[in-house]
Amino acid sequence: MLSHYITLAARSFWRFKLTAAVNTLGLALGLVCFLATYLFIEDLVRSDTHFKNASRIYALTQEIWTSPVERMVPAFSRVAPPVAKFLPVDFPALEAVARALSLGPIAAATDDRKVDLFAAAVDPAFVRIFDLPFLSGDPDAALASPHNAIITERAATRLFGTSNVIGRHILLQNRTDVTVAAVIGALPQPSHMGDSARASLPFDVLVPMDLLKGFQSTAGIGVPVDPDGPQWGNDIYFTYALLPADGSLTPEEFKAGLKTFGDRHVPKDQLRSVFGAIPVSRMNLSNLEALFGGHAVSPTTSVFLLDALILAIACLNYANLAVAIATTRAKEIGMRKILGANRFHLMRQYLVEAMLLGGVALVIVLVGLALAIPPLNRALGTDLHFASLLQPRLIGLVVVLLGAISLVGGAYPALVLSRVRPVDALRAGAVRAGPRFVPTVLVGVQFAAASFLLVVALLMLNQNRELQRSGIRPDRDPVIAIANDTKQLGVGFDTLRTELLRDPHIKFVSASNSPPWQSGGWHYMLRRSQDASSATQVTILNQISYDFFPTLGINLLAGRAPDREHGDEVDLMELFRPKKGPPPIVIDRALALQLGWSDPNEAVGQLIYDSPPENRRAKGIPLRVVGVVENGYPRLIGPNTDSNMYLLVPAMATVPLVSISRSDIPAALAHIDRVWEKLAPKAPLRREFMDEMFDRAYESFAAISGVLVGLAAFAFFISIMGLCGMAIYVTSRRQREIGIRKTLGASKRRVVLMLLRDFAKPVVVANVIAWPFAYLMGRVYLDLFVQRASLSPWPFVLSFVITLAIAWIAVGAQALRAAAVKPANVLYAE
Amino acid sequence: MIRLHNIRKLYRADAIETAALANVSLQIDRGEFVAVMGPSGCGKSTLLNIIGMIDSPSAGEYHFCGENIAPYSENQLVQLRKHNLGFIFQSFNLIDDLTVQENVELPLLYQNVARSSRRARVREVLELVDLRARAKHKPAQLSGGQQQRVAVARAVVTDPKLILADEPTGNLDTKNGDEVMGMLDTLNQQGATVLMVTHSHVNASRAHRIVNMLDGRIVNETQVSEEARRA
Repeated sequence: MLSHYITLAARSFWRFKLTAAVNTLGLALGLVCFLATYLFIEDLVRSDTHFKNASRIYALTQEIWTSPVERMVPAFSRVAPPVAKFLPVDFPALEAVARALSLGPIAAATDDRKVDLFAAAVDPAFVRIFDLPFLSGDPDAALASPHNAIITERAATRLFGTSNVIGRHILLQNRTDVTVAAVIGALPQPSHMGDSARASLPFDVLVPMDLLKGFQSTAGIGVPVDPDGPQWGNDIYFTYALLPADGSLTPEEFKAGLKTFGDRHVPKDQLRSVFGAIPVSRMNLSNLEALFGGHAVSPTTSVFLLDALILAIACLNYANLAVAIATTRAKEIGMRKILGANRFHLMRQYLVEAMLLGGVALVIVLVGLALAIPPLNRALGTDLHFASLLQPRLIGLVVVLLGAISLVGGAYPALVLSRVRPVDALRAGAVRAGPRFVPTVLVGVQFAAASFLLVVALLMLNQNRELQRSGIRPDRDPVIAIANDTKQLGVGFDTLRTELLRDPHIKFVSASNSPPWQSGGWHYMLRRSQDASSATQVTILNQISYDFFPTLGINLLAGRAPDREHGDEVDLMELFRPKKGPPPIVIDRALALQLGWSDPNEAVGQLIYDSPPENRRAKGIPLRVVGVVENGYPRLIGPNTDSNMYLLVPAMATVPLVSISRSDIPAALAHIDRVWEKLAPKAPLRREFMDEMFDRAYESFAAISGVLVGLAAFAFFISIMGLCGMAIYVTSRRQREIGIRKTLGASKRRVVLMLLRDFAKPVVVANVIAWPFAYLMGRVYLDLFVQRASLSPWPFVLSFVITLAIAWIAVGAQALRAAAVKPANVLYAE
Repeated sequence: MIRLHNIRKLYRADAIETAALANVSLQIDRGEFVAVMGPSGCGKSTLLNIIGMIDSPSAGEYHFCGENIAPYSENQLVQLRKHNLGFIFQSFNLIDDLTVQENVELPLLYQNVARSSRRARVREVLELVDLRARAKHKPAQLSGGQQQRVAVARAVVTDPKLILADEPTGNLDTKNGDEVMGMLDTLNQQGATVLMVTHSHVNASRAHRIVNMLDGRIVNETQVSEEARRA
């Protein structure tokens, strides 16, 4: 019997080749999307599993709340420095606790070479928690002295030409000498640390945490890093805990205990922090999700939901087309029942057909995934191989999905058609496969999903255009960012500026505490009143040098920029203990609006009050607004990044920004290179155009919107096929009616218009249903960005026009064919 | 073998009720060849469908081999049908995707007959209808007469007690029609009971008895003499 079903299925597929191909392709595409996402997430959560103690290593997380209902910072896997001190007190069973801090790329020089290396500062227990692949040196003693360093084999070769470097010296950041105490090999990937492009703790060299004090590192936030400091809001340290091997402290007990850790240790006058812990294998995934604001629906969940939507469209399409084809086989079904087939025979027949189709789809899925792996690796920085596809769990998932889809997709026609009465089936045109509205509803749902995706894709494209417009401003003079930390390198900014400005191609030189287009920043709380209970706004504090705004081309809207004439330069500690009166600040338009000033001029001269996380109950240090600038600090995304505050702190603005003339860019660059070589011969210059930095930051958003446009195209393709199937079904059912209408005088044109109008109805309804969901999704997406496109009606209108046009083109041929039927051929057929 | 008593069949559309059959009573004995005649819309096909268990009466009794099957469920009717009845239709109703051999073996498939037995029986009946050489052909590759012969083969492959033929020669020319009628004759002589709906008096005269219907009722029954049959 099974061979009969298989033979029948194969012949049916051949007879309805196009439909079978569309069904298979639709299922396969839906599955490829779903599985590609699965592989990506799987790769994220496989991170660091190669470490011996991986199952017992947990990374601490910290959320900071400004009020019981308002979270300022979501749960990144980085915490404040004091956490490591108190963990062993509260959890004595922990085997080890260690911190790590990324120092970013720093200059490393030997007698005859200078390179950039990624550095990280770690506590000595770090090497006890993570079994790094030591090639030489004593792991237990490698970080015993503050001036020891552990270096990777690759970095050793770059610096010394050999990996036999124990005892050799390296000059870091032009000021600090360290001795190589150990050499490690490359860390297996995937990992959140090491030399991978995706590492959140990249390092070529590890130095002891105690070295930081002398290092004067600011870790990119503008505040000198003090690993012993009590700043509970300074959540920039990776902090790892090694749970005991004997199980005396389980992960559940640890996490439960951490819930009240903040209440026990964070001073009451500071913002409330809630601590947690995640397995080290989930760090990459967790950071990705937190970066997007830590919303209730995480980015990974959102992508899975989108993939599930595509899969659902494919399933609906399968059911729809199966019903359409099955209707043409109604007579056959009637005959089979007359000849002795019962309902289960028929149901089995359809389910076998669905399973076979699913099997073909499986082959396409595997081929599709194998082809998708290289571009996926390039786009997402993953390290997937074809072997990744052959995991039993993945194969099992694919088989289960295909089985479920086949059942769902094949069940409807199986159930409905097996109920057909033989006598009705034999009567011409009398059979209907299920309720009349079902194909229309199925197609409507497909188009609603496709329309939703199209609107969201158009909104994203619009937003990307806005990002590019704000990021790459052709009207602005090119700006070069020097990524070297000049303060650490001992390069005086004033000297650098003076030397650079000697050349007429250099227009302005300024600096900031962090490079352009980085995500996130130093969160700062402000309020209009000194009353600590009054409404607060969270903004990003930027520490800048002179001429910052003209350098970046940010227009002044009201008041003035901070300058020497007014003595506006402050020490960072002025924010906490002002000596000369309220420190002068500049705010942007967005912050002015948030603080209640719709006219920027109203803000000038006003006092606002800060509420730093370290001292929440303080009366509030007054700050005076001296100027309001246009929005436009170069930042794409991150919590609370939609407004900015600027403080003139040249001492902390360690990232030089150089505005150059367009007239002779090579000459300008050559001058910058010469000046640097003169001032910091032991540190390779890392300079980059701001536009290039934008392109790198923008890349991932372009990829996301590209994926969404692709998904929308898939969804449309599948939906159109569903509509064609419905058109075939409907026109075959209405042939007699069309024959009668023509006999009574209807022209071909009238019949075509009538059919097109009927086919358009589910498309129109689908769009209307999809719009509110698309609006909500678009709103959520746009709110992530600092520079936002407006949510105009055009994407919605365009989506409607496109869906309608495509639908009419797709079914037009069928409508024309139906309208051309000769009445005599249909009125007498029995 | 078959006894119908006061069979009614009503079709209801909104408030309108149409009686396709009104109080029809009929008896068919084993081995009989009965023809049902009447104008279009008189209920002959409805009667055939009810006797063939592919439709249910609205009221009345239907005794098949001594059992009242009128209240039987769909599953029960399927079981009875596949073991006892064979059907031949005016428009052949072969399955286009199956070959001649596969069409004919379909009823045996649904009876879970073993493959070797199926194949042997199919060969036998195809010999009977002189189509063994076309076993691998699809219906679209056959003429009308050949398709109807395949339908006859399919109807008899399970050796049914009753063969129901609805206008079996309606779509055939005279020559092919005669051939099909000849097969029905032969099957009847071999012991099969035949119930045929026809418009053709010539075909009806091959039967033992003609049942005339009008407006959903049986108006009269006439016996056909042996001479008329042989003629």
